[in-house]
Amino acid sequence: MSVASAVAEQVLNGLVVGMVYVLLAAGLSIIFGVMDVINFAHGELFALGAYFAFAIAGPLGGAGFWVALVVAPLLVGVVGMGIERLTVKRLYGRDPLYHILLTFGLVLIINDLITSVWGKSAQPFPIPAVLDQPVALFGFNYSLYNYGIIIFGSILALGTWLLLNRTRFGMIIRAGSEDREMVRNLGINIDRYYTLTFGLGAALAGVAGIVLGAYQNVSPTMGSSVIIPAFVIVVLGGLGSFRGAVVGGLFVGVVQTLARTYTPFLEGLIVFLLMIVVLVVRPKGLFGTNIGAGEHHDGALLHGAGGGVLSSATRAKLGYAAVGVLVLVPFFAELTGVTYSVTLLEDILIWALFALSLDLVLGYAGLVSLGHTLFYGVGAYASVLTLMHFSPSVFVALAVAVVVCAVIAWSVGYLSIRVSGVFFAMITLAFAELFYNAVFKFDFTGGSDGLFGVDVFYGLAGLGIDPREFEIPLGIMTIDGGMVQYYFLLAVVVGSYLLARRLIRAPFGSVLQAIRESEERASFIGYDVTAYKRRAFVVSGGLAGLAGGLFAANNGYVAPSFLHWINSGEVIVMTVLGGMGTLYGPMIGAGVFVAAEDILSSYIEQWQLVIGVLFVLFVIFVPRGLVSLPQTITEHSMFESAVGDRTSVKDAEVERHD
Amino acid sequence: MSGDDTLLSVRDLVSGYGSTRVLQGVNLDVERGSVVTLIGRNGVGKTTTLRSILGSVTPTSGSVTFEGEDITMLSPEKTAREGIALVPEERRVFPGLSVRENVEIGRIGGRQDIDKPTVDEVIDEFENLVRHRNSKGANLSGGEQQMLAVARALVSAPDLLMLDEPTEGLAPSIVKQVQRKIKQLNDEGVTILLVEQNVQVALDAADYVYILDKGQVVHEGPADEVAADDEILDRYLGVSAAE
Amino acid sequence: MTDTILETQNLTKEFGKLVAVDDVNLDIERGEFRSLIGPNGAGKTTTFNLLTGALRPTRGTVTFNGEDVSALPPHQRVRRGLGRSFQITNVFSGLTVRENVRLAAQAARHEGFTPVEEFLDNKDSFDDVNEHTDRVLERSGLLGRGDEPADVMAYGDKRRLEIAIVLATDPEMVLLDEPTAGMSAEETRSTMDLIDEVLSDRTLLLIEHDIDLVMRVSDRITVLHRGEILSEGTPEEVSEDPEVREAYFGGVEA
Repeated sequence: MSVASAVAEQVLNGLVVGMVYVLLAAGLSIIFGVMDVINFAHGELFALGAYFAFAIAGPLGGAGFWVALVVAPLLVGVVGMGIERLTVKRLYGRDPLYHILLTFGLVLIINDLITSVWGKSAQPFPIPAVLDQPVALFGFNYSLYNYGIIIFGSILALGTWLLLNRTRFGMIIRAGSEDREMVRNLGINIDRYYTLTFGLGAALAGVAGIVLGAYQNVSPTMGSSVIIPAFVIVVLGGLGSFRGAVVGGLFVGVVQTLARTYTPFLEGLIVFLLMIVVLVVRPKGLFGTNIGAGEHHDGALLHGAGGGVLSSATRAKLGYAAVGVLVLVPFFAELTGVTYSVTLLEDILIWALFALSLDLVLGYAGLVSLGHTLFYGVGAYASVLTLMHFSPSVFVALAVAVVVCAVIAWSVGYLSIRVSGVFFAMITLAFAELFYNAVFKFDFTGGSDGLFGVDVFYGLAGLGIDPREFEIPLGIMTIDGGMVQYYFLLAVVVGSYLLARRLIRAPFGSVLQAIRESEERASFIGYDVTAYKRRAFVVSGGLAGLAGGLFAANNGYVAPSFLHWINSGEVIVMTVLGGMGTLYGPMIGAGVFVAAEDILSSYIEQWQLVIGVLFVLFVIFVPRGLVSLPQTITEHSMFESAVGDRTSVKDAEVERHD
Repeated sequence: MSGDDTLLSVRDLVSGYGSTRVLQGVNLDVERGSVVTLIGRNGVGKTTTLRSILGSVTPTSGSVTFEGEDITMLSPEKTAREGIALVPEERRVFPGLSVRENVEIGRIGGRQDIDKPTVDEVIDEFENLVRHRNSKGANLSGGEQQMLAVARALVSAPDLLMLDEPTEGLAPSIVKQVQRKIKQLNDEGVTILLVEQNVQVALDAADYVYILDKGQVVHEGPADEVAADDEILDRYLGVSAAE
Repeated sequence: MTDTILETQNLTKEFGKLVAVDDVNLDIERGEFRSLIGPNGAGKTTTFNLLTGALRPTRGTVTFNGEDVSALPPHQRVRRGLGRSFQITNVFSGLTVRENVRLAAQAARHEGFTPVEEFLDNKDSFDDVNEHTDRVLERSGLLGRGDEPADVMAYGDKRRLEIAIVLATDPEMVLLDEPTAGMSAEETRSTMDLIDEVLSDRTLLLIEHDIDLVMRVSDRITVLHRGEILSEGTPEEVSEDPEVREAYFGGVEA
């Protein structure tokens, strides 16, 4: 085969993948454009399409594929409409960032449903025999199915474009994305169209899932592997722009495929580099307009519980009690032989620190860092590399982790904090994915295996404790290296909390709270809002790096999974679950989340589902988190029927547009 | 002036945003076929009155009766379907939609049980829209956007047309055009409730005038009587023709 | 030569084809009470935003105390003594009255903090900030109410707090954005009295559409119309200008 036809084949392969991306990104983009909803669950709807088709086509044999191609997307569309009606709808009028949280919970739910019905392993989904043959065109053989995808995808994309631009439905959708209140004022029930739009987006994702499922195979991870590229495309093309989704989808598909063949090193990196460049140079994307982005308001409702939950004296007492219990646990564990509880507590403490770090930016500076695991993972790598190459001292390793992460946070913050809201979220996500993909590429990071078998020394310059040799008999029990590790961790986490609390009570923290209340006003009394946010992000990045470093040092290993976006999602879940903007709330959230995960996973297989459902309920009904429960319960019993539901919904609507 | 021919009747309307009460008991009537104007300084509740009638602000108490039916608690989309069309402050045409589409979307709304004029029939009524049929809303001048907003409301053949500051920010020559249009529409039988900052426009257009202050009607009367009452104009509007 | 505090030269702002502010030259003398009026859409708000730094001019400059501040962001202009108030009360509603004022006072002396003070010391432990806060609270009639949460205050008291926050930033000049919008005649009077009581020793620029109010309080008035300066002078001079009457009253005939 000539060079030219080899390139042509790669371009065709790229267009095949690109078509899948177009269908996926178009739905994502339409949903965002019309409803301001960033739908993290879009990848799972995509997977659902593939599995529905798989389930339909299997028993029907020959013609099954064609039936599935029609029926499965419709089913996914119905699921999408159901999701909109039951969950998404309840959050209209709140900050769009709540939708990120909600749909993240939906990811857990749908993904768990898929694995419990169809199993965890990938399964082949054969394409119909008619399509499974090569055709000779332009001088070389190429799969008919692949040509089919390109043609079918083009037809669907064109159809969607016509639907948006040439029908009454599309006209109302476009008008709604520009000024939904005005559409209502004209006498059109826009809510009904929202449901339909969500269904349309879901159905398109379903089609994409079927097409790709039959191109490769169906697996429960197929959703999480496409959702990030799909976001990249939507951001590249411009949030809410259909044209951007089409051009971006094809472009990313082709670039990815060509990179895989010709510059394997850049595969997986190039797309994120592109996204970062586009966001920094032209935040509204290639085809974006400011219409959609202009509607965003600073997170008026993305608020923590603040003070006011229990008195500060009560909280202090509870805090002392909690630390006291944590100090005593190893002794009881030693006495009862349930050492497992110590391991669980170590996990909880590390996630609590991670959540605490996120709270500084999410709860205080109002920045949604969707890629916070970047710092957790980099901190872990930095500390393991330090331990391996420079010093066995855990102090040195953690210090390096903190400094490296703070420097990265400063750089990322420098590039991205001036772009606001949704864009900041996307940029942080892109950076995290960039690092995630990068660690696979290098030898010094251990590639996909990560780095194993490091030992730590609790001291400096040879003076200190080596946990492997440490043992002090104490009556019926011994204080061993494991306990040293535990107490060191406890001390660091409690110390970090006290430090964070001090920061918040210092002039620096008072300005962050001012920014949270009103960014505009803070700026007009003389504060450089961007600089303060960046500083908060640096402190937060450093603390997250500390958490990652601690985990790596304690467990003696680091792996690429530390940088996987699911961690970023989980830490956001913990922070919101506990109650952001309180420092201790997210730590409680981490405790509850990790413990629940641990307990549930040992009793039921569908623990993810349970956590997902709980989280969705929390986002909808207790947006201020666990720490607000005492207050919420009191308020409810006091003003049971004070205000009619309808009035409050309408007022929220009015305030949004005024 | 509540009589058999009353199209809209607002009684003791109390309304506002959150804990702020903007309207503190507004009473007004709009007679079929008339032009009624609400005037008053900025922030006295004129726009809130229109929004409360439409339902985009929910009244705390009081009532809104339209064609003898209580529409106080209806949502804006339902109110619009009863036959009330709003031309809002700042026009709010859909910038990404063409002129035709803007009008077409207005035609989808409004009452569902009547024959409506076609999109082109309505556009033909507006000399400065005719040649822009396929231009995007964003590319129109302020005056053209105002006409488009009126056309979008008219195409639903409303029983009541509510105009919120239609001359705001327009050049004097365009203001005159808008004034002519209001008169022409009324001559054709459209009932109009007009909120206007420009006192002269307000008094010229109206049959009957309500003056609002601090969320209440403080004075009302036929337009010519109000126009002649310098003391009233000076007290509530800070302008006086004789100054 | 008079003592100019704020000056604009050829100040122009275009939004696409629309020229919102067209070649505006302002010259405001230290200590004067100037008002900028004009009908809706005249370019008042855009001019205001150009002066505060919320918008950057398409052409022209803004000079404050002899320094070209055209490219400076809002917080830097505030630091140099150019304060502003908000039309819709914009206080930190989740914080106490005292903390609202203290934050502004802290900003006014902020540059003096060492990193340790900035990040680790208790915010309430700085005597100069506390004294400044107390002075401002007293002068604006809020002494003794420092512990009240801002969001439960009555409307009039919020206006008072609004002015107190501005005062605490130590401005040499204050830009007032329609401070009486939406107020009854009585509320308007008491707000203007408050401004007079608290801010009378500063240079003031009032953006306002209520011509009566402007006539009462201003030393000089600048009338904007369609982005350009139509007239400028003492209240008497301006009120006798036939062009102003035509533009402002929309052609009310005498």
